[in-house]
Amino acid sequence: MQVLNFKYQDSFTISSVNCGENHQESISKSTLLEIPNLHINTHEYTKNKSEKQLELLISNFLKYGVFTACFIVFVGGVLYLAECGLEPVNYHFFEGQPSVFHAPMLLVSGILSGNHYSIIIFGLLLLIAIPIIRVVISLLTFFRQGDFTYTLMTSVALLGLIYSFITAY
Amino acid sequence: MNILEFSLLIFIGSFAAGFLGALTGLGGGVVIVPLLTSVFGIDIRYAIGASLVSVIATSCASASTYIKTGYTNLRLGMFLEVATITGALIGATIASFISIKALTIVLAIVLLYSAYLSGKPKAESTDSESSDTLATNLKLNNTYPTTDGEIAYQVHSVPMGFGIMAFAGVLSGLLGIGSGAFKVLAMDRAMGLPFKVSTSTSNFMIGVTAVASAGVYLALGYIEPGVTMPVMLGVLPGALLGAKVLVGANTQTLRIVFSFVLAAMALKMVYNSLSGGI
Repeated sequence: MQVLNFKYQDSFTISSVNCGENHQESISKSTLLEIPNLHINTHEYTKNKSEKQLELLISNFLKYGVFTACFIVFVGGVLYLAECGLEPVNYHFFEGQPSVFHAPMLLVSGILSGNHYSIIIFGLLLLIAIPIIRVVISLLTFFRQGDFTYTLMTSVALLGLIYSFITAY
Repeated sequence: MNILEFSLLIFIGSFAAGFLGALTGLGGGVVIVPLLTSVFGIDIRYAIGASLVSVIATSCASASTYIKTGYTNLRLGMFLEVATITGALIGATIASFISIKALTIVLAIVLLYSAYLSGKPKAESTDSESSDTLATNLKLNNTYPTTDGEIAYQVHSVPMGFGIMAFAGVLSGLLGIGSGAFKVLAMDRAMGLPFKVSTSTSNFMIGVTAVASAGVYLALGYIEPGVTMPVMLGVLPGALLGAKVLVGANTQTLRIVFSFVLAAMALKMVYNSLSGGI
């Protein structure tokens, strides 16, 4: 079964590439992922054009979104370690964190003054926002296509997410 | 130990967890929580919060790649998201009043089950005949790319899959993990999807499922920036590297070793919990 599975995974790569003999090669193989992609796109006949556009839009949005959020958390993290890196650790006991919901303005003023905690939290909030915006993008796309079943479905998903933040608040 | 050393150690541990999680297909979350609690001695609530955030980051980043390969079934993902989001809301609500001891036991059971699934070889479903009428009405049937071109597949037992997804959502909200093992179970076994399709579609949904419980976690103060930062920055590159190496790797031995590690961590957590510590 594993052999089958292995073959299956290998279908990712183009056949002219040798099976990875060393680490370097197995990494470089995956950078070739884009090549079979092109091949897939030219032979695509079941997914229509608007569906493809949605896929591309979501894919790019997720990629840039995550890297922006990570970059912000990284900046906040560097500042945090530079400032309090030498203090002793105390995560063994739960104290709870002050909720950003109760003081949204504190977050804004914290970012402006370069407070490391506020910058990390801002990055985390941005990260949390990415899947939500992704649902909104899908909702709008389905609505524009006149696909009401999926407009309804993504609306329910979005309402669920909004509900979770409202109850938390 | 000061914060700098501690953060670096967590970063390295998280990188390894993300790497192994991606290689074994279990996801980083299921490794991160026991790692942070039993190795680093961090409170399980902080561990769950940090894991949840790293799950969102990993899911979004790898979903981006998977969508481009053509395996992800967007419609199926958006349909099942309704189930996982509902489940996650319930799970996160339970998490706000359940005792730490009970939480630890649930996590240990999930770990043991994941270990069992991880050690088992995957059965590829090849049945592509009868389809669910619900699946047809919802336009869930699709195609996926192989070396022989596009192959069509059918989606089966939609209500059953929806139900298992809701359960996976509850676990995700309760434990801050992606519970990818359960999502794949629903799509592989119940709905009869090709393995690559179920893995990448599950991955696509994990981010939004995690977000559904993130609001509750933020409000409860589970998300501690100092812990979350190194975990998230470690798991993400680890998982991306793992996914790349996976393309050419034979993971059978690794899976078996890994399932023993998971089982050992689960037992240690239960032992610690019962003997009074966290």
